[in-house]
Amino acid sequence: MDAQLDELQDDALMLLFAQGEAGAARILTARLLPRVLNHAARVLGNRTDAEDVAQEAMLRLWRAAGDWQAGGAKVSTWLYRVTANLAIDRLRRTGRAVGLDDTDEPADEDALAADDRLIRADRMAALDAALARLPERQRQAVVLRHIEGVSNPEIAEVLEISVEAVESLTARGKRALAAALAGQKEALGYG
Amino acid sequence: MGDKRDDLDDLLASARDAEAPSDALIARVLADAATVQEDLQAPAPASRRGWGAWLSGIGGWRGAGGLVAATATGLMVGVYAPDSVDALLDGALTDYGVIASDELVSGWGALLDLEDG
Repeated sequence: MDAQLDELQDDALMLLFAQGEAGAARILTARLLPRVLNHAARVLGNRTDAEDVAQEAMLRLWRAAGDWQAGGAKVSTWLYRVTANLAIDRLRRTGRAVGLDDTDEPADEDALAADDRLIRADRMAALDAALARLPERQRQAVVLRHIEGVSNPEIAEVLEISVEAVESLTARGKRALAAALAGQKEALGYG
Repeated sequence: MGDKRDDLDDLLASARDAEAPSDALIARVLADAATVQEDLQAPAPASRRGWGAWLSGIGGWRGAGGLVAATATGLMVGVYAPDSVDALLDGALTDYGVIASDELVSGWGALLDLEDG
């Protein structure tokens, strides 16, 4: 049954969820939770906070299902917007966290050698530290564009700004990241 | 510079799948989903219809009692002509100049007399 559901678009799954189809929740969670969590983790630089934000964003998604209009807002765009706002709220409440918790684990840890995991964790910590130095909106835009691979028009919808503003934010953000990470090439394992 | 940009792109790309949701987080999210789904499926409380809705709209049995009393009073005032009402009030309406004696119709009895006549 889940295999059939997996062929459906997100908005169709939202409607099925509202009608009581439990499989719809599983498919939507599998599709969207990793993206939401990843976005929150990169923006917040803290795994625990990111998990809280991701869970809250998904909860708001479930609650929105009853009134969801098929063919309206794209589910992922809506969810990114909710996540972005929750993350900004969290940043303002707690201050900017720099660096990831040590609880961060790569996805396929069994397949990675311990050294590779360490290098990867170091790289993510360096990236998070560099991201944390960017202004909030610039950070959100860079994460959405260059990590999540979201298109500029979709980012414009998420952040409720113009496409031109997105292009400007991502360009400046990437330059700032490159500058922040300059000199760490060997430390990041690229030497 | 070119290398640096490539390295940054690699780093950003490697961050794409960096955070896999833990089983515990997935379980929490699905538990939330189940709770919300139950709420969505729970039948909405049946809206009151007919007399129940009407009664509720006027404030229940207490409101209905008041409405009946007010209706009965109005009916009584309508049935008894103003002279009778004035008489019931010991001529207060006339005393206060609300009505003049010659405005008074003889009431129920006069109506019957007219029909007889």
